Amino acid sequence: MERYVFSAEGLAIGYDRATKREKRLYEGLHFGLRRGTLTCLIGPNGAGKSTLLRTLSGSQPLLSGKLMLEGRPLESYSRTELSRTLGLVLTDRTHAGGLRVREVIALGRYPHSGFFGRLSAQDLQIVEQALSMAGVSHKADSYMAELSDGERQKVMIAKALAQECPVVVLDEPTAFLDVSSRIEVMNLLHDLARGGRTILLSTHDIEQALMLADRLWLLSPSRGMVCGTTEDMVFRGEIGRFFDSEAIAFDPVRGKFLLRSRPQWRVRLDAEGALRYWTENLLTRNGFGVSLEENCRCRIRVRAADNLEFSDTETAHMELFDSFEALERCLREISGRKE
Amino acid sequence: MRREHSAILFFTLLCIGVFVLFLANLFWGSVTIPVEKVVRILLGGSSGRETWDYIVLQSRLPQSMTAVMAGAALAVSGLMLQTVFNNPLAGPSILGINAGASLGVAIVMLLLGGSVGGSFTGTPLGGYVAIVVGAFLGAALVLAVIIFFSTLVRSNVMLLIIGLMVGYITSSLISLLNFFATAEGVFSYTMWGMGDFSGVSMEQMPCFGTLIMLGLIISLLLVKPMNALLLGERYAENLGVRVRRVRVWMLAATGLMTAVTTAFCGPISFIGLAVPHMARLLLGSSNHTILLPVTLLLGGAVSLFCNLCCTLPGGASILPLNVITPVLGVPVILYVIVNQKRIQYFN
Repeated sequence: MERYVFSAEGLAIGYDRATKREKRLYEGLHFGLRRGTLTCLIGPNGAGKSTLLRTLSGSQPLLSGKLMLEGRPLESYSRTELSRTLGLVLTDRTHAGGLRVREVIALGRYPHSGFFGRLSAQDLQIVEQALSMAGVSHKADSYMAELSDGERQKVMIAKALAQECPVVVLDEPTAFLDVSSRIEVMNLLHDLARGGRTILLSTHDIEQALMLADRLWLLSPSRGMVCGTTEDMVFRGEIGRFFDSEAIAFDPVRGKFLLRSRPQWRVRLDAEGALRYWTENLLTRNGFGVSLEENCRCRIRVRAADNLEFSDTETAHMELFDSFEALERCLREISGRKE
Repeated sequence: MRREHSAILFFTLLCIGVFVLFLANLFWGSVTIPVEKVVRILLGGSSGRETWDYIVLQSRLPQSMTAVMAGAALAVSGLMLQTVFNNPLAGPSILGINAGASLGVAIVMLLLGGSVGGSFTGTPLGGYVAIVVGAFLGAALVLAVIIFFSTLVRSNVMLLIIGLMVGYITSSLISLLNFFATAEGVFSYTMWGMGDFSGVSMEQMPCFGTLIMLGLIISLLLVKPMNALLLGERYAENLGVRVRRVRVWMLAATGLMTAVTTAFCGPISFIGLAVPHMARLLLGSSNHTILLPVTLLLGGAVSLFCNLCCTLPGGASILPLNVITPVLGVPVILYVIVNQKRIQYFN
């Protein structure tokens, strides 16, 4: 089997092919979607993530170049062949509120069933498997209208599973979801990838992507598409280059974006683990930086969340706080006074 | 499992209901004929009175058959329009398809002097065939306009308003035609416009029946892709549905059925809009595999019931159909609109 499910060479994507209004978003894209991985497509709004996914899923023609799916040109696929190879999950509003969950997932058998859509015993079994894999078995008899957004998204993933496609493409599956559903959906996708399916999704949730994606595709108008394994992308500085601006910077240690701050004051910090992390958080927010120098004038020692000690070596003044709130009040006073 | 049983039970009850209402339409009418005489006439005998034989065989029987088929056709048309436009408030009358068919009929009746009934026999264009063709062309024209706008306007409500606007334009044209038409022409057009299942004679029945059956069979064959369309165009496409082709077939069947019923029975309101809702509410499902057959039967039952209501009240005169259908349809639609937050298929 080939290593790549999708491979593109010199691919151009955009709108209105071969007309006067033809608009090319990208030219000469070169990438491959590795089999059995969870790949996250990341990019700013309007970068053309959806256009790329629509081109890959065959809903929109490519403008030029070569795009191979499972070693064959995408255009050579018939509609049924494509629907058995690539399953799609979108954020589009559906009108299936009056269908039950099991009926919606059974629609995934559409490309496999006959003219009237009668399901065989085997089809029904596949539907049940999809239900339990996506963790929505307990909702099988509920109406779609009764589900939460997260459950609905899981049902659509189960539909794609019932399609029995080796590749599942998802366009922002976690948009509009609350935090816990977001994590559940991403974990589900991660498990599916571990089970051998190839998953490609676009997302705005960079922290989740960094945590669970095997590979990242970064797409932006200025830099085109950059692909690689998540950790390589972090250490090559690709993530930083991709998103950094005047205002924010990527922190490779914490794997997240921070407000760029130019600390006006520095303190020495004695703290470990979570206490150190959150104290730094508090300091940064209030315009203080952590100094590594031994002879720094101010010093904060945190032994517990209710035992925070602030000392000024010059005046030998020392104060003890029982909460971060109290410490913050003190820091504000210092910074306010100096201004 | 239990749900499937209840669906089958429901289906059986509905079949019985249609049958009973059909018989009621044969036994009941503005002329009182004793039950045993009607039975004898239906079994091929004679009641002894020629007028009774004529009334049962040449008036009540074709009228009941027309009611069943027209009701089924309108209800299924409504359901398909609601599915294809993803809009639960779509229907042949709301989207102006009825009005388009009416315009075609008006042109034939008022400009060319054709007629459905026998009163204008010897018309240059061969009577009812011209009217059916006119209605179909009118309905097709409006459908084309609606499809064109549906590609420009994404909002469902806006599309309904466009349908209403198209309806207004066609009625303005119809008014113009009426203004210049002869008194008899205006009278026969007005009578036709009130709706009536008695417009199909036994001689015309094979033509009417074949066209309606054709439309219904096409719709029944489209059940599988219709379910996929509930997920929206892109999902359906990904499941292998040829969305464009399915749409064209659905709209062609809708246009055919609406045009044929409108040509013969007049622009009947509300059956197409309300019956699919009644079917969904009763079934608790928008799965077309069961919803479409149930809508079909329920449409037949409802229009038989309406036809019965036309003759019931005074006994002496027969009310126009469009007096009855809104009284039945409007409460259903109001109920659906008021309760849309609680009704599953809206969400």
